Amino acid sequence: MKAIYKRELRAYFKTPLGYIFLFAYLLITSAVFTLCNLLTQQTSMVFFFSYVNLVFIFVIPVLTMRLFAEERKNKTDQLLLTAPVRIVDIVLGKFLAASTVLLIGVAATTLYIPIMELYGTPAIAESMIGYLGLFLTGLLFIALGMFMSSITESQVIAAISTSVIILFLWLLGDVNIQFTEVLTGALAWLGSALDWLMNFISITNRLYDFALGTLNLVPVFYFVSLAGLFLFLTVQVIERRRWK
Amino acid sequence: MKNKKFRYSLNSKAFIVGAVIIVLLLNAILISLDSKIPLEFDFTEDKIYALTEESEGIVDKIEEPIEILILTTGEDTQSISMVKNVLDKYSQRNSAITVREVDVIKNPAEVQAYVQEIASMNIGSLLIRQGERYELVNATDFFSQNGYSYIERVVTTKLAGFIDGMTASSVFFTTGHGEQISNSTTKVLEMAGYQIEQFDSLSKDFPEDGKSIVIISAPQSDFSVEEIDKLDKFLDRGGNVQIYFDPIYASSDLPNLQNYLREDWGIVRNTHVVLDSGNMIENSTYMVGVLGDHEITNPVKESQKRAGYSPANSFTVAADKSTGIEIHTLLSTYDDAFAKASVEAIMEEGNLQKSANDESGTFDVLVAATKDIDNVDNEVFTGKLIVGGSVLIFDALTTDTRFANEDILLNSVNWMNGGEASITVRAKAIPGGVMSLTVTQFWIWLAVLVLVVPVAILACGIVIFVKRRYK
Repeated sequence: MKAIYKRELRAYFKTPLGYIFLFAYLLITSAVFTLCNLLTQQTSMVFFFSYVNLVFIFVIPVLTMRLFAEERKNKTDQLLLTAPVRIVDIVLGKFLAASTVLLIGVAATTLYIPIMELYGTPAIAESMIGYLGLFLTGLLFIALGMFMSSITESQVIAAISTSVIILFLWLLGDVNIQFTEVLTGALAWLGSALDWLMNFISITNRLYDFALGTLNLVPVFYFVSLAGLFLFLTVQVIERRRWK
Repeated sequence: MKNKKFRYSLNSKAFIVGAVIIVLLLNAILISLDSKIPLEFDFTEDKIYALTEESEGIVDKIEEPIEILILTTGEDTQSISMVKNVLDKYSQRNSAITVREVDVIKNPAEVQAYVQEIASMNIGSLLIRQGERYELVNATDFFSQNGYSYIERVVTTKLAGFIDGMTASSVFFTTGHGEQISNSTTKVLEMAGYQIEQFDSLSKDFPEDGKSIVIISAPQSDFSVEEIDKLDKFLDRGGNVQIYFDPIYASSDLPNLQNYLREDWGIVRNTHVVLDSGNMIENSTYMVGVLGDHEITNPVKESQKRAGYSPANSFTVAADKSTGIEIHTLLSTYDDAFAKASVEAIMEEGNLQKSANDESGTFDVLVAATKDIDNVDNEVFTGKLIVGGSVLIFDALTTDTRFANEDILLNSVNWMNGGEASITVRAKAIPGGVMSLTVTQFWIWLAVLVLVVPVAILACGIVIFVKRRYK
């Protein structure tokens, strides 16, 4: 796994991909920070964290689209699949490499706090919790992007499908549908189940806690477990291909 | 081989379905646990999403089911999220309390019975109900303009009203003498669970209940001999009285009231105007004072907040004060304060600076006194009296939570009623504040953050890529 991790991490910074990611990530987050904090002269980062996760729609596909799709297209996946390394290690190595690049980006944006400190008193602990939420969201989306990359050999399809799903998950929080109002009578249970599922899938609902400065184990487990699920699905997809 | 592949495929599908179910199930369990036990760590400096011990004590006393409805239009705003987060702590603490959102547009029938009352309320307001009884909390009461959260205070206060034996204590303001009753003061008391009442002391008696608190707030005309007698009898029953004078709003000539204070309590009102330009708060006429040693002020001193006062009369202890009376300073000036003869003298001078004729030194502007009184049945009552030199001590600064004045006010009424039946949940600071950034600084940071840094990183990437390509 260590070898895969090193190889992937090196690949990010030997090609323009890692730089494009950091460029886009810093450009968008800085624009959001400027609008939410510097322009309004507020040190509270609640609004920043509420909106900044939108950045992932554009940047996560940059990190993940090539992870498996490129290998498959170049047929280098054959080498990997026949190498004496477990599929789990391959998937985890790639995931950790992408996560490291994300971490560099997120860590770079923590510099906003000392900038605010020059002109006011930012809430440091609360903001750090917000950053943790942002990073966990990113991890989930990386796992999702890896899964999308594993099921196609087209990087473009992998990128677009990842963006669309992230956008869908983001919008879900704003869609105010109550299935319990539509499905009544014998189907009431289905309405309740769908409402629960909608609420469960929604990303924005989970992020509020972090943005407000509270560390709730429910959203933490949500992000970690869903990221784990997508990694597991990715392993299964690769494993299936190996058997084929 | 084919059979092996089929078996693998079947296992793989079963694994996937199993993993999805396990993830959903574990999340569902955790979500259901979250409504019962706290799974959250509050990292805000003032712990705005955690309940204070006082709130927990009140919540624990609730036995009958109480439902808290958050009246929304289906959209989550930052303030609604904050309110929901705090309310969750109530339901986690006591399962008799349930919290749910009601979309008033989609489900108007839910709130039909209260439609007239909620029509003027903001989105995010609360309806707290227990059977037929209900209380409404307007969302405007949750936050102060200077960044403080009152969510816990107002909710706890309202919930306390549903507990038997926790009926609100009354604070009575006298009227009939041109009293200046501060809205800020009454609002703070109401939010702390006190019921505010007014009575004309000339035509009506002082409250029967000796535990009641009466506030005389900057009277412009004197109390009659009969009223003084009623006041004295009320204090003899163990009553509690707060009297606030003021160099601007109260008359400087209140002989009956002042004589009573001097003769019966040993407190002399000095009608001069105490100022301390060296400790004046910027852009205001408020000054920072020194807190005395008393159970009202000691908790405030520990919080290291400042206490302020406006231009005030001062008080001294009469030389012939009875031995049974104890007088404590609650708030005094710093050593370099001074006193001008009157407001008119200040107007003549045209400034608030010290002049040669001014008295100087330390002045007491808020004092507390107690007196043990034996009645005819040999019962001992302790009359409690607080005298303030300015009615504004509990006005503008009461709502400015950087200052301890609100705490002093609440502690004083709490001290007077022996710490019973009052709620002293403090306002909590919302994280963050205001930056002072000039336009030039804003544009510089905008250029650096949005342009210079990202472009520099991109340039790095291009250079490395080109170098590698033509190596």
